[in-house]
Amino acid sequence: MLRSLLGISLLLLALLVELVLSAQLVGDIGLRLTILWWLACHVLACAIATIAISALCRTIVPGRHLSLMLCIFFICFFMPFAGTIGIAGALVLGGGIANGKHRVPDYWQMTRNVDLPYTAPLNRLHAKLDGRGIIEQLMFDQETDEVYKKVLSSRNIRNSESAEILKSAVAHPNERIRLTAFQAMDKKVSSLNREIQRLEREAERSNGKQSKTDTQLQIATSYLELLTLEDDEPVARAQLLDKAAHASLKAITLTPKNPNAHFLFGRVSLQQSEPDRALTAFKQAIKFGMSKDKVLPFQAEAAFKARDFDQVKDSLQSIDRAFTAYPPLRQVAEYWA
Amino acid sequence: MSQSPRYHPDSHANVCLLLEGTYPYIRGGVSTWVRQLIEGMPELTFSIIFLGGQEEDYQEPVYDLPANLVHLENHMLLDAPSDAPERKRRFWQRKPDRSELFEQNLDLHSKLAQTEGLLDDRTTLAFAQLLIDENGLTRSDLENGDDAWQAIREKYNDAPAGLDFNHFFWTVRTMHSPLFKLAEIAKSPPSADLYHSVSTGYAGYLGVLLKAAAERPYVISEHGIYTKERELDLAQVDWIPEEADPFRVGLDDSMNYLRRVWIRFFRSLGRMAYDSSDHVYTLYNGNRLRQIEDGADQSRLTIVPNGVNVKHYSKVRRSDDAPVPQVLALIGRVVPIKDIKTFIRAMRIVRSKLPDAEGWLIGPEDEDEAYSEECHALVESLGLQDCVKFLGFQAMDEIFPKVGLSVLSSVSEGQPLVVLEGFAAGIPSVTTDVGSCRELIHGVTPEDQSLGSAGAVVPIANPSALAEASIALLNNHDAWCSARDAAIERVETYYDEVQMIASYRKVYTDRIGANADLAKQQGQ
Repeated sequence: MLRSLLGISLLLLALLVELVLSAQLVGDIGLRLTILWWLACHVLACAIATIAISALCRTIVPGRHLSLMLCIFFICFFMPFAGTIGIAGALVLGGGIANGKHRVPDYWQMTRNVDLPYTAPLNRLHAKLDGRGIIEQLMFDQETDEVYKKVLSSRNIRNSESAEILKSAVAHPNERIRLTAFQAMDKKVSSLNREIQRLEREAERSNGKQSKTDTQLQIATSYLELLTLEDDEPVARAQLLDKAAHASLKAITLTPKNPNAHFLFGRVSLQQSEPDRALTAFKQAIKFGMSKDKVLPFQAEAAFKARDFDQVKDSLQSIDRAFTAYPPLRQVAEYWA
Repeated sequence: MSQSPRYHPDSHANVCLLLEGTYPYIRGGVSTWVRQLIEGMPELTFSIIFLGGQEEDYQEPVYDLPANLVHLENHMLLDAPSDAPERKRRFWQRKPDRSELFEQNLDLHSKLAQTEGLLDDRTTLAFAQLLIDENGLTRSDLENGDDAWQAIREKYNDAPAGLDFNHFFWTVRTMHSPLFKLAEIAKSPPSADLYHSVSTGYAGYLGVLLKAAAERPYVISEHGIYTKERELDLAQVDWIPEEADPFRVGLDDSMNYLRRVWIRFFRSLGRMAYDSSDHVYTLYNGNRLRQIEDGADQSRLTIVPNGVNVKHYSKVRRSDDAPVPQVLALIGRVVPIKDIKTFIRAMRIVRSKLPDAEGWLIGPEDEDEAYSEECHALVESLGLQDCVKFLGFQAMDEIFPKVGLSVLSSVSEGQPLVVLEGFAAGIPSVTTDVGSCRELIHGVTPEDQSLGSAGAVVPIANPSALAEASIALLNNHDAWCSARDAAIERVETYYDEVQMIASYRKVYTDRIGANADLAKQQGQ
């Protein structure tokens, strides 16, 4: 028992000495040891460790212990050198591999595919990514085939978003682009006109008040959508807004407590530059249960147009912070705060 | 084939005109041109192969048929094929092996797809032979043959993933079906010394087949560019099935595969027509450049501008001191390509500045009735019922004396005859900047330009520009008179029907004569 305790103590002492020597070797902890003194200390620590291990192993390995002690001594002596060489080798090899990895040329190139941008190898010809907006491309691009395809596909997106693209494309010098844009716009206008005609017929046929109101609201919304395509014409604009206002007023007459009808009437009035009428309509919409967060930004705009700046501030401050935390409302809210 | 008012299949004509959807059943610029051509050369005899869609669309000819038109036959490409029984195969007879023909067909298709620009002569001829040879491909081979089924399946492998095979299969069948009808026509063609198609497309391809079958000269005259018009149309038509990817976000600019297939089909027909023709005649340089781009050989392209009967229209010119009627006339069909809505909107602006001004729409309204209804609705919504009038078709020499300005708001034109007719009657014109309108208004060569402007040119789809230019001419008598003088001088110098007919007379006599000489030499 005593021998074992002594053996463990000696082994710990040897390990402690080795630890100090390693620290001196790697980080120079200020022992001022020359290489010979360092080796002498290392030999001493190895000898202590050998004695301790052989004392601890006496019960396991009976008989003469000289060869065992020599073996343990050499293992202990060379272990730090083997470790150092191993670490150095690993660092060199690892560094080399890492360095080599960085030198492998890029294989994938960035493509225009939004969902999977890195799916084309470098050697495959691929259109360069164009970060400009489509209106800029229409104004400056000579590569007409690409622009043509974009104009063509813009017929499939919402009218309010495609109107600007198509209007710019109608003035493009390339005939194919010009005609495609014209046809797409004409088709959109025609289909909206047909939809309005259908809704007007439906409004005449329908019986229930609610159903009539819904149809009138759809008519008003369609006129507003048509406005996005025919906005440039002052007379057409005034007529379309009049018709939208007329349809939303009809809806209000049919169901006076319908918040959607008041809200739509407010939006139309705002575009007609009738801010006082719009303010009343928005207040009615809130009164009949429409979410404040939806109405208040419009109400603020109407108040601004009516030059009622206190109400602009009040309206913007009443909007839930969750909505005013993000652009575009954020900047406006910050300014008026 | 349907009967026609002048059906004499055994008669021989000097020139056989190949027409698609125009004269004598539909009014328009091309039809007027054809009529001018036939009536302008009474010493030559003409026959017509008319290609249409469905029989019910073409009832009676809208033009009087001239005496030198010896034969007119109508073929409807979209009507069901005739029920002529194919030769029945006895049960002991082996099924003919068509696989070699289909292999050749696939090979030719890939050649056509790979070639850029000019085509190899042999490709066009080989395609034609496939259709017109006695042992060539037939409609039955396409519709009932195993080899066709295999070939379609093989081509389907090239289609993008996700394309419905059903759509692909029916597209291939629908697309190729009219070609077999054309082949039937070419196998027993009306006898003629020369074939002349007035467009590419189906009429142009019929010319290719006729040239291969009858070995006669074949020329093309193109007014609008058929391939371009088809492409614009096909890019947006609703009858081509389109599968939208619901998970795709943003602007998807990849065109639907089937649309591309249709566009490629008409491009190929056009290229083969250009390749096979002995010569191509075009109206102005803009069209010529486009034809070169589409595969026409520029050494075989010649510009022959339109011409009008100046002498006839000069009778209705008004004197210098006569007041200019405040009437703006748009002469043309009521169809989207004429952008009638822009004219109506422009009239609202004109009316606000010139309270007595009127806008007349002179042309048939039955081609696109939905569009026509929209135009009427627009007139009503703008409150212009007393100012904008839809007059339908009218005789030009009766209308011109009542008109102050000829207006064209089209988004696409070739070389509009109505502008030239107006010039001949002493009426200046305000047109959009399309086709050769700028050349007609301002002139082509320096001498032509020195004559002055015969009106004004404005951008398309711009009602205020159209209105302002019209008001500027109608409000200023001196400007109007100087535009009128330039118009008259320009049309008399460069666009007289006599010059156009002389050019085509030379084309016909030279080509027919050269072919007869060649036949004589071969006979000897």
